[in-house]
Amino acid sequence: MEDNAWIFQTVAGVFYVMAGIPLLRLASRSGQAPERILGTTFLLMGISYGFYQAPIIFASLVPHEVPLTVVGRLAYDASVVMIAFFTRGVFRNREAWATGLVCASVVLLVAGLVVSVGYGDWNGYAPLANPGYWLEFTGQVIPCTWIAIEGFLQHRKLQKRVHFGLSDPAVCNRLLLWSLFGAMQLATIVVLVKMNLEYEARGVFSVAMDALEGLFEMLTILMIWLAFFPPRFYRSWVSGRNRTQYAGTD
Amino acid sequence: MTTTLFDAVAEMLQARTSLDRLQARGTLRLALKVAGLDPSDLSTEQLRVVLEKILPRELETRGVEQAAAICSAVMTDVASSHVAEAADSRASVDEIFSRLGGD
Repeated sequence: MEDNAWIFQTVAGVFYVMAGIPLLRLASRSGQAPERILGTTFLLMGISYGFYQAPIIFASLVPHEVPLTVVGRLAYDASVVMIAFFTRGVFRNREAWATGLVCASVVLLVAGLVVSVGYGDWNGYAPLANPGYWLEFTGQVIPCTWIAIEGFLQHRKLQKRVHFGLSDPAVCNRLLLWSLFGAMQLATIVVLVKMNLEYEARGVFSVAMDALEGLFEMLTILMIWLAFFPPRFYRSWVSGRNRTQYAGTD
Repeated sequence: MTTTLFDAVAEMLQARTSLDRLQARGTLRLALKVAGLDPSDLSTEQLRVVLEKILPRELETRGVEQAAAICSAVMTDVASSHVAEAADSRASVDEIFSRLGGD
């Protein structure tokens, strides 16, 4: 990331830490697993982004990039595993295939890391030379695609429930935002692949991809903010929109 | 094998109407789908709305007379059953995402 994506990633990293802490506080009060897993996910993402960006921000103070990037990579993969656990636990806790999907994701991530080390690609920046890159990539894509799909399917169901007064419009909207969060995460991962391919082939990061990644990062944190820390105006807008939509029906 | 709320209600419908087992389950399943509900995660409150607002129309479409009265009787039976309590004890996606958003 030679252009401005590091700025967006740093902002996103700080945001993820700030999003993770209140969810972990909620978990300590409620004792429930979903908030604990989600809080840990965001915290790990924040830590990951911090370790990835530290060598760029503090270039003169941090002479060794690789160890920090490796920690960032491990933290990100751990956050992806948490996403898979969250999705299974919340949406599909009684279905065997969901456990299989979590296991597949974990196996692919671990295998990807091991193979990467075997090929000397500690940073995970070499998709052409390192086949482990693609194992790790698949391990990341599975949970992100999964939350995008589950969130959307659940949103569709809740739309019907809202119509009959069986669900809160705010929760229905939250599921849509959660789905979009998954889609944005997926888009970011795909853009990073394109960036890494170009970097490996030409030795420079694409400015266009850099900008696109920054955009997706910002959209991702927007989704999280509106979903889990919705400001008053947004709550009012969602409720008002729903009242207008279903006025006079049923 | 545990009897779910869906199973119990389908049996009650079958007993109170001329529908066979497959028809009763299918009609109930369709009514739940209209409201975006899953047979495996059905709560008594959700069932109440389905029995009041959706199922009577579905039953009438299939030639069942006094559909509203039948649905009301089924709801009375369900309210006093142990199946309902078991169904309500599970946390739903709704509840989890409501809590996560600080509602």
